[in-house]
Amino acid sequence: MTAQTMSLGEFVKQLAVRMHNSKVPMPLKDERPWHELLYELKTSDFKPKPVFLNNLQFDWDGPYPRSRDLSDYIHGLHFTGCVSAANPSYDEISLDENLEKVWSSEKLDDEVSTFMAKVMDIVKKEFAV
Amino acid sequence: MLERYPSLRKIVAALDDYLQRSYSDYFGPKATHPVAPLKAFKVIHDSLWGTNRFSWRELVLIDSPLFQRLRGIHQIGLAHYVYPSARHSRFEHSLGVATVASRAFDALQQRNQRRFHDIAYALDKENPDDALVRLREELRLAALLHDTGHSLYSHTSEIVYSEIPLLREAVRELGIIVGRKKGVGEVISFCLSRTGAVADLLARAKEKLIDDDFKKEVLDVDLENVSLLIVGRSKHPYLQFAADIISSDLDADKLDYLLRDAVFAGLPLRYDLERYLYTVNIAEDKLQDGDGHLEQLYKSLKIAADKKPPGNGSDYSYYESYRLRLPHQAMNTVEQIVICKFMLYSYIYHHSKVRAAEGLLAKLLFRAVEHWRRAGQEDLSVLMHFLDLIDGSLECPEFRESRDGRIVEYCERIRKRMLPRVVFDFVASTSSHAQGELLKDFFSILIDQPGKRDAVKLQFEEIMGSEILRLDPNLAKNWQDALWKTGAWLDVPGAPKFENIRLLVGSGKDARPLSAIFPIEYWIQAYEAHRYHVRVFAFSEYQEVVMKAARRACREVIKIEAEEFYELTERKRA
Repeated sequence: MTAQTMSLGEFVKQLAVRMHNSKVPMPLKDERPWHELLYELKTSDFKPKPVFLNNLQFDWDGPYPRSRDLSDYIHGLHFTGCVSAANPSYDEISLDENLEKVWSSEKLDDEVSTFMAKVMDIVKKEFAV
Repeated sequence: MLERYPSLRKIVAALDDYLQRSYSDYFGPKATHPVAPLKAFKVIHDSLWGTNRFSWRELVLIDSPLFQRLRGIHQIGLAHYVYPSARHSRFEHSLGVATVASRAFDALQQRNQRRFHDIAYALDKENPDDALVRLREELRLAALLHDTGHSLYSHTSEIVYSEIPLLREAVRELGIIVGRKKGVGEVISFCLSRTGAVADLLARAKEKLIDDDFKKEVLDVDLENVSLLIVGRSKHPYLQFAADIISSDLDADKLDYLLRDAVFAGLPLRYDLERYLYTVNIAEDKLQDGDGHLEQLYKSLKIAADKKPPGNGSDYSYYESYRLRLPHQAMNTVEQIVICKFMLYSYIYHHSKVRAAEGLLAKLLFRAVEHWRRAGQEDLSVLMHFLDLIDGSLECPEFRESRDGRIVEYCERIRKRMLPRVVFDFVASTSSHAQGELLKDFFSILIDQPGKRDAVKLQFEEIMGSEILRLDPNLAKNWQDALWKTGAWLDVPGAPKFENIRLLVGSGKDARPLSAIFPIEYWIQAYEAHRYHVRVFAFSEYQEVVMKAARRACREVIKIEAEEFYELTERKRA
């Protein structure tokens, strides 16, 4: 997978694998951190940066910029059973262990690996609150 | 407003020309309608909302061919093949949306008289009352025009014409103008409402009013605001609540279609509109504008709206605004609406036969577009071609007597309801077998759009088509023909969405996400896990061969070997 070919869904899946392995909580009820992360990545000067970020559109209709595609994808992962929210308050989602193995077997090129490492640095600060 | 947006300008100009060419007695320099003198208003009866009053301006639009063509477009496409009475059209739906929109507006005005006066004063210091009358009329016109961009069988044809590059670009441009992503149908309705043809018709109609005294009192409306309301924005941040009535997650469109679709399909699903109207309210809010889209919009409209810097609880620059809000007392209604939407998706929109019929129609239309392209039609011609079509066009020689035998065959199959049947049915709950993670991974790709979905779907179908050909070499010349002949495809429906519902519940200090009040996420997961189906379809006479071929495609693409999976997902006739 390269910065040219990576899609939004593939980015979310790779991020989910890393968050799962780093034990960073993945919010579900409050989507704000996801959207703000993607907005920050889109508007940042990160190089290299996956191309899909340039085409990601954000709606300005609430307290934070919100990507409908991202929202749809996270919810899609939820209702197709890729992630579950079987805790009483549905605050967080967790990844199926077997699915994590499938997703983590995906080969990323060096650029994308470096990018994902940078993203995880941000996520560890901003998601782990 | 459109100076910097060439695609939108091009479409508006082409639509203007199209209306004047196609309906010259209503639009353009040779127009003769309206012929008869006009009364100030008339009433129209609706099976859901009773007797309702429509103004002369609304009636002129309703009587025009732009609106009358909606009579020929079923509200829920081919769903009447499963629910025979679901034959209601976009016409009565659009009238219903106008009625519900103005009822919501009236309820808000009654509950917020002082606040409405303040809003109106900010817009028009000399005649604040007139500003409110104008806004109500603009709201109703937006409601009437919001679906005028539809073509035959509504959302099925929308899937096809949304692939037109010029429209894709127009969707992107409109997203920049209004700071939110809109669908192709809304973009066309937005452009139609901005044509000079529509403005001229309304201006001419005013001169035909019977009552001269009334004529003197008639207020002009701002069609620019009408077009913005259609796409969920308005000419001033204070009026965002009106835009929410027309285009948001609990908008008048939804309030009408949920009940109308359920009633006409004969499903006992209801929600309580009266309670909605009793509780709906407006609240002060911030309209965030981090990317400056709204600033550009208001500047282009020469609106003096005061943009605030980040702070005061906002991380981004913003405009002070009023938004539509539902208080906690409205929770019963919100729950009813959510349930109603889920059920309608499951019972109607995602019903296997409805999906089968719509899938056939989409294939037919994609093929027709290929022919139009080969005949030299550019993007705009293809768009205008779609505007010429209504549901009854399937009965016309263009399709029934096409030179392309495949179009004729699919057309006949749809007309005679010789629809494909399900041969494979994947549901998230079937992923509990030994290799469940592989099915989940497959789902994670199919919901990735724009992404790898189309490529993986194509890969699946190519393997399936090639295998059909291997099993029966006499069936077709190549894998694409084999799929066409057997009516085989992988069907991946979209899921119901609740985009902004969180923003519309509660107000002021009590504002809370809907999920804090009832667990909507859990509902979605629990419900969709059993109701979201990815299917392989095939014509009955080729069921066996397609089933074998789809099995191979599953093995190669999803990589599942476990026999248990195939026992769960194959749909064999007993």
